[in-house]
Amino acid sequence: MLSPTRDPAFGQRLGATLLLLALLAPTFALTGFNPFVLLRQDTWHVWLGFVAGFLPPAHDADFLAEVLRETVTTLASATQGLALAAAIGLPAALATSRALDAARLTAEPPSRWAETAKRSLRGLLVALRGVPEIVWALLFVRAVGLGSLPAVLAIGVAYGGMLGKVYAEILESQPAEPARALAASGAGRLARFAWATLPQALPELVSYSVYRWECAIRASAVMGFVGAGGIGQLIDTSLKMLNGGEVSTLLLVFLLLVALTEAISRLCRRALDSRAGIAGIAVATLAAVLGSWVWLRQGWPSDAFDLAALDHFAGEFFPPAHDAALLTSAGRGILETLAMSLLGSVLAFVGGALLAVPAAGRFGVMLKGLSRLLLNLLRGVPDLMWAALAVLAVGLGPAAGVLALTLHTAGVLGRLFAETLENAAPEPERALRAAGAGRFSAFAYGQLPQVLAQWIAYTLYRWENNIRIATVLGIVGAGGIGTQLYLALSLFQQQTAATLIIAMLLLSWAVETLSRVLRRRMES
Amino acid sequence: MSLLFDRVSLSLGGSPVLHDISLSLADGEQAALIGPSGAGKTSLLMLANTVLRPNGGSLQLLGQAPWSLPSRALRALRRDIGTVYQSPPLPPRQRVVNAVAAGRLGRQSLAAALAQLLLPRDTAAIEAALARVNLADRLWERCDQLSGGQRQRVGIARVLYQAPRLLLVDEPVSALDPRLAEQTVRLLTDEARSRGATLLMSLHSVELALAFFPRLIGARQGRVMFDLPREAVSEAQLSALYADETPHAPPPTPTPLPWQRPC
Repeated sequence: MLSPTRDPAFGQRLGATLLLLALLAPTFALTGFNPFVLLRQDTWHVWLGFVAGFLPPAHDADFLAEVLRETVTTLASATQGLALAAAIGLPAALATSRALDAARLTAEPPSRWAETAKRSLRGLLVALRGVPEIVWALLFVRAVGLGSLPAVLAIGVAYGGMLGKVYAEILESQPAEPARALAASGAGRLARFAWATLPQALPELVSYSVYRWECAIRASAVMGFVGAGGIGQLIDTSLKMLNGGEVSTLLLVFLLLVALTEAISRLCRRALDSRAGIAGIAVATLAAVLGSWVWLRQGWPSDAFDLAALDHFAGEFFPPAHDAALLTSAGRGILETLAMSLLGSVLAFVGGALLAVPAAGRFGVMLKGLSRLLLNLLRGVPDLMWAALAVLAVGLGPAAGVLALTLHTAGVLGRLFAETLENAAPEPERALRAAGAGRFSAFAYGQLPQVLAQWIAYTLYRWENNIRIATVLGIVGAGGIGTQLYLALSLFQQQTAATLIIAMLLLSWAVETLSRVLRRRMES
Repeated sequence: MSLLFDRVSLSLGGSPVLHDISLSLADGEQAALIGPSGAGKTSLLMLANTVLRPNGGSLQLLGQAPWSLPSRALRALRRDIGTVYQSPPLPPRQRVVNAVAAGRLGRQSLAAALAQLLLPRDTAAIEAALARVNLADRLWERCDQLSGGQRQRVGIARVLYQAPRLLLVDEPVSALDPRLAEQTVRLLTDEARSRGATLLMSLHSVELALAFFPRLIGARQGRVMFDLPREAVSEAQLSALYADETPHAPPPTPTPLPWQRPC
């Protein structure tokens, strides 16, 4: 029965489906990811053996002492890194925020020189946050050596770029009248900030900084994969020695650490309501920064801040290489990166949807608890850690990257999907059940239309994110353009590395622009 | 008997809603359910379509006791019971064609139901059902592009398409203007008569009930106050039914479905 349907949306839907299939088909070849392997019995045999190797978690005293030490280092690196980021971001925000511009607050004519300076500072911040923090870590390991110092610098630089932008935006979102009144009575830029804008913006600034601190801890935990110390370094070693018991102890400790920081950050947000709470946060921050400095300083080489050597190292990246062979292979790397991100996101959509339905409590309390636990595990372990594990499970190459992206993103999406399911109105489905529809049909006609658009929007957003992540997975051997960057830096080919970093920046810029354009078109 | 309630009672969230309801409707019979807000009319209909389960008493629908049936047989029974809801339970982004087609999900395999989401089938019959509520031209639109009254009529088109043997209708005309309201009640009574289906409809408007239904059931505070042929209903009974509406049960404002809240 292939009579032409009268459905006016049919052509568009067919087109969209064919486009997705056309995009998806080559990704299997490009990444070497074979989904049918997952269905074969011997694969599962190997994997179950792999997972069984993780049990029981290692727990001898020496190892645990080392884990504790490195956990503190991870925490200290994140804290120290965020302090550096704030030291970069706050002055940058003060200098660039439009909320403090006299020209915007009063009729004072803008100074062309100042505007140019602000524009270039904003451009610098874009570059700082455009390079992923793990790439910064890789560069700093080459520049200042192994240890926690490169982790601190990497977080400081990358997050400095982010904080500079977000702090400025937070200042801009406050009511302008107090600052305007001060500007009209001749107060300078800093006075306007301290007396008018800061008191309004403080809770938001603190709350965002605490959130970034949580992110910094996750980032700091994976930086050990490139030699930048902390718990990640132990995971890397244990993985290379195929010591599953140690890896599972480390993953557990990491998940506990993340839970702990989430609790601390909740506490901070609650403390923001009172003056005593804010004073408490200030004291605790000071203590944490000083304490982490003392803890980390002993491990840093005394000549680490040799500025001339750093300058020399930076100089080696210029001019970026641009021979045809490199450009071709960079192009292939980008294609592989895109393929990994697309396939990983599509598979994560499927996995997230399959887990979200039980996680929303549709198959009883038991399965709800189990699927939530699984989602939390998938989401809690950072993508780079999944990539390191996936490399062990399926070998070096982009297939591991696809697997890692799928696992982590399925955890993220599954939780969001479950939330939309719980928020959807139950009446349509109940009405269909009352009219004799089966469980699944009633779901497809009563619930799915309420949530599907939201699910697709979430997935597109995560795909954008996954493209950025896929560029760095190669650092742990999971394919994409990161593989080439890691290789180039290992061979001291700084000029090649410069080209690859520029390619990464261009890719992330292109994706951001494209998604902004698409979003605007979808909204209109 | 299409519908048989024997001393049925119901509590929701611990508070009693219906007490000792005994009621029967013969095959093909038509009755209107009237009474003030909070009388339990909707709850009674939701018992009759098996959305709610009674706490006491027994009930039979189309000759079967739904709550002693195995789940397969319950499904089979349910496909012969159609309900028009006061707020039509339609997902906002769903297209009208699918919203109406959903009326026959009980007669389809899962595979057919899913295939139909991608490639609508039987559109002629769906369009015919929509034409009877004057919405044939809205077949391909999304439900959230329709007005409240139009959505209510899509809900009616769905049961027309379902063609059930027991038709339960909960206040079908609340979002319609008086002329359209009369037309709609006439449509539903004609439909039930022509197919020999049994019809139980709750109505706020006593005039419509008197004009279209040979039998009136008056409910108040969870009890049946009278159950009489229309000629036997007295003016005094009606004013007693609606007397001092508020003191005992404050009219429960029906919680608006999420997509019906004003933005």
